[in-house]
Amino acid sequence: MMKTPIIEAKDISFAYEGRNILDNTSLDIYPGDFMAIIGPNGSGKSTLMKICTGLIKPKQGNVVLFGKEINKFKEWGRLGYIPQKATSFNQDFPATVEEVVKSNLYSRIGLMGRVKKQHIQKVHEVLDMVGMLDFKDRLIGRLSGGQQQRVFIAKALVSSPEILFMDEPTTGIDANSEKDFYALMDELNKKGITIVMVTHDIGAVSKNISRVICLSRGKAHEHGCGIDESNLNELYGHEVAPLRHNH
Amino acid sequence: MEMLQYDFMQRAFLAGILISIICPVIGTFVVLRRLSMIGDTLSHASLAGIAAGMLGGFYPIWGAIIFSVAAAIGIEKLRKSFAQYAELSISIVLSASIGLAVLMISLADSFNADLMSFLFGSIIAVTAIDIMVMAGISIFIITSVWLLYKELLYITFDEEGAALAGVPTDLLNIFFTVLTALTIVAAMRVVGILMISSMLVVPVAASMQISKSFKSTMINSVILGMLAVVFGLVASYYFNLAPGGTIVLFSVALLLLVIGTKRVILKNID
Repeated sequence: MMKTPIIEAKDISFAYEGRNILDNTSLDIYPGDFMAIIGPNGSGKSTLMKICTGLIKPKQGNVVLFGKEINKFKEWGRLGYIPQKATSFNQDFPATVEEVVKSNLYSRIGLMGRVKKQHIQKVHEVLDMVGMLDFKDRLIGRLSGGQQQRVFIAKALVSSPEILFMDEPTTGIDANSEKDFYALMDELNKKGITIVMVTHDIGAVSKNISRVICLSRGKAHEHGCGIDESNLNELYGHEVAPLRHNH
Repeated sequence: MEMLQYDFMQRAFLAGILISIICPVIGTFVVLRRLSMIGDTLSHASLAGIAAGMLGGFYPIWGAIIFSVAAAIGIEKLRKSFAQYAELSISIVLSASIGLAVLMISLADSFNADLMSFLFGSIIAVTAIDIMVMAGISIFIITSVWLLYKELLYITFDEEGAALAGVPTDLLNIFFTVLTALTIVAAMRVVGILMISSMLVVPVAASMQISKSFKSTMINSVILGMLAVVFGLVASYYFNLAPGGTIVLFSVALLLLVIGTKRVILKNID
């Protein structure tokens, strides 16, 4: 039986300062996907992700989220998003790890909803899932980049999302943290969470991910779980040599 | 205490306590959203409102509320037009507010003692009506922050994430700026228009040096603000000084004390 996509972006066009970034690009995301969106700088990877999450509006085309047109969609808790600059926040911001994760309870309890005992339990549960429960009372700015990233994943998970979008999640973290990150992503994907990430880490992509979308010159090109390297040079417009990782 | 036998001092202390709660509560969000200049802008808008009240012959505080709330909404609308230079919207509204205030004052020909008391703050100028208005505004601000605490924390820490989670960020940004405008109106009688901005910022700056969470930053800034207000009012009474200046100087002294003590403690640990 054919799977129904949970996210359908159809014929999306987007221009920035007169330059076409996306040109009639379409993308379907299915439940359980572990998808990477790759492509050269400026190819529109982050833009496409932001359009899929409703953060920016396309010039043309439409997005359907969980069977609903995006302008009628209200269940934002079903989506988690970790932006490219998640860890480049004000490092002196005086919030604890628990306070940061709690802030995303909005999608569960709504406007002016009060945080109750069961919500705190959920916060602790997701912090435990990402291995950060022992750090719950620490100030977010005092953690390493890899630890902060885990907290942001926990923050996204607290709304029990069915799909997790991440924009360049491995930028600025060390090799060990990256290894732990992919292990965590595998675990979350096995638990049924659909994962979509924008990345430049082509080597890691081919090891861990089931679908690879390469954006080039405004169009999306799909690869299988491996990458046909002969194609990449043409899509990137220059020679590409993916680094292989042992994770 | 002898000074509390006087009605005007009772009113001043009541007003001071209210100010020392609402200014740091709102100031915590203002500082962490890097909007410290907003206090100056809205206080100058309220000055134009006061001059309008004097010109029109109505209760000046109503004028201050109308003008500062209008300026708050103007800042938020302009912020959209200058997405990459958000602070420009504050500077533009500040310039317009100063211009309007000067114009209104010259039209009203009202650079008198009453206007001076709004500029520099006054203990004896606080009337029973002022206290009622301040109490009403304070209850509204505290209730709003209590109800919207998690939403305000979310947009302060990560506005984009909050928008994705469905938080009505545009509406909340306007509402928060209006709350800031009301805070300024409530505090200006005692602290004075020229110094109100520091009451929003300085206790929070001191609290950030010693606090270990967002909530404790807010609570500690209220405690520090309250100490500054009490010391400032007492000094103002005994030495016949302008209360705004003494309160602000005490809050700066507390900030320096906190920074100094923290350095000594850290040095001893090393």
